[in-house]
Amino acid sequence: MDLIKDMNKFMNPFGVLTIIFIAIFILIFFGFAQRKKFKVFGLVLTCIAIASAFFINIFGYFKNGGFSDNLFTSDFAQIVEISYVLIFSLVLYIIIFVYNSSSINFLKTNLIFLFSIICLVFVVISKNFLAFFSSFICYNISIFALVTSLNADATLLLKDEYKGKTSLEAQFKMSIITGRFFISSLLVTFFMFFGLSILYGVSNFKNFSQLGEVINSYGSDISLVIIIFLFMTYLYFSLFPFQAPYIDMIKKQTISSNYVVMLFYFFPGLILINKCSVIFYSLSPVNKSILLIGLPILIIVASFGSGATLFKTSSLRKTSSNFILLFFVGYILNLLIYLNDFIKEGDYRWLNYSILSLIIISWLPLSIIFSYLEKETGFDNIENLKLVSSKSKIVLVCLIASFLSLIGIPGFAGFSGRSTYFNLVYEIILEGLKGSHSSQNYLMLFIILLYLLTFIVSIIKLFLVIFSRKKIFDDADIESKFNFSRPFISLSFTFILLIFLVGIIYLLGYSNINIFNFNLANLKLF
Amino acid sequence: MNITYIYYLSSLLFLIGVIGALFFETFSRILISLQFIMLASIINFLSFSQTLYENPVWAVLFVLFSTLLLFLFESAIVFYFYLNVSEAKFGKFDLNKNLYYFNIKDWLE
Repeated sequence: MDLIKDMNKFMNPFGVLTIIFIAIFILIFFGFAQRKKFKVFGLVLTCIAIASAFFINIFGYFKNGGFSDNLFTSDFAQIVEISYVLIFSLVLYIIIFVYNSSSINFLKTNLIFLFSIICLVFVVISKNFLAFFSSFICYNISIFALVTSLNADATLLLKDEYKGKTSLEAQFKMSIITGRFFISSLLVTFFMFFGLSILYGVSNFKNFSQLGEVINSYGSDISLVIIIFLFMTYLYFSLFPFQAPYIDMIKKQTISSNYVVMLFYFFPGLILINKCSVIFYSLSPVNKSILLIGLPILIIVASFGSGATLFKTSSLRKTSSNFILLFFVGYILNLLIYLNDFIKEGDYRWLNYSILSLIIISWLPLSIIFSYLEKETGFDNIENLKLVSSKSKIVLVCLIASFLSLIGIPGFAGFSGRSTYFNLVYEIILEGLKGSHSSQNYLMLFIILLYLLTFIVSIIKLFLVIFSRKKIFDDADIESKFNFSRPFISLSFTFILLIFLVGIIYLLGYSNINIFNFNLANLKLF
Repeated sequence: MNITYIYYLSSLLFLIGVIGALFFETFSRILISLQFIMLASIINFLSFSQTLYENPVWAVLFVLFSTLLLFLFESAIVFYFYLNVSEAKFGKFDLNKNLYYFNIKDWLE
């Protein structure tokens, strides 16, 4: 019994890490295996490890409560973030399996993938700057290894296709594209290093909470650090006009590597914004004003840049990659709304988590359909979307549901993320300049409307593409041979159910309606 | 030496590094520019810990771990290039454009 009690204490927060370490340890013995049954074993083991880590993460918190020491902290916010990390990783792992299961390197990739989850969990729970920075760099290295190993399979395929010089040239070009993106990532890491060195001079910090206290009590001037932070955010999220390495890589690398970059690479940035938001809130007015000027500029320029790409592009990859950039812009928009005192801290956190949910529920079906179309037809062209309307009604409904969910139509899952923006727009229009925030109101109104409009315009464009009557392919063979597989249709159906279920539950809670004498608003989620 | 001068020196090194990283087109030059940023950060950490605070161990530890890991990341990228680019080309390896070279065609099409 004592052993079980000790294990209970151990569960939070290191239970998650222990389980994934065990999975890595078992998989090391099968690292060079080529047979399919070992790959399936790897799949099952990884899925079980991630699922049980998810369970232990939540169970451990309810059993033992929070945890904090000099290096790490694990409170409610961290538990939610780790849960999101595990959900994202499960989705990503399944995608990697679907696209790369035939690869000879699959189990090695699997090991790197599990290691990257461990690094990401360390990033989430780290409280000390040393722990955070070290785990952040380790995570970047593991993502680099993951992306390059997934791309290596593509270059191997290219070798078979064009024997001789061409394959070397292809390999050379691929290495330049991937290297360019990760040099940019390296630059961001160096920026962070310099920013931390100045912070150390200002405040003799050791961890995030200490820094917050020092800034609160002494009102330290950290303007230069904030400017570096803004520039770093710009470079890290590859926002317009610094998106060239990101877009270049997204266009040319393998589909599974794209998902690694889009779902996993940017996650520590989101966590850093979450960690820093409370510190930013308690800044002195002079320092805060730099953020309040810098963030709107960042949001407006990035929304315009990504919106223009979404409106003009004919590439499926660019469409889905720019949509996810817009989600990150939404994360920054939430920070701005919070700093302007429009919402409280609790609402701000839920708003951020709703964006992460939106990525899984609304963006993922859209992106998966895009990838499927590209893989089956062999063309990365937006005109492929017309095939959806003619070949499968269920996939079409799934696509339309995810589009409407992205806009935030009530009844769809996306409304949970967008309702706060709609409320803010409504309040600002009602209050006008009379409200407590005076001139900030109109700036906020403009920014929120621009952000929402970017989504609406790009989705209208996609609707027009789907339902236009223009001929798709000159070669009729591609159109006649193309068909959606049964598992894919079932997956689309699951996504439809998910989008409607989450949407309706949220709508009932939002409008205070009782079901079986139970009010969903009491769940404190709304 | 006055701490202000050290701060100016590190800021200058940082600026040289940033400008180099953003505007150079050759891989090795970009990496050298990044070293300037690292040097600036290390100067900051060590000088602040010596002059402003009594216990410099934490800063030294931070610098030690961070530089080790940053070099690991950098060497991973260099090694990747070395594996994929033939030895003849490796010496004059070129990105052919700035790190964030902006092209309207790439942006919109």
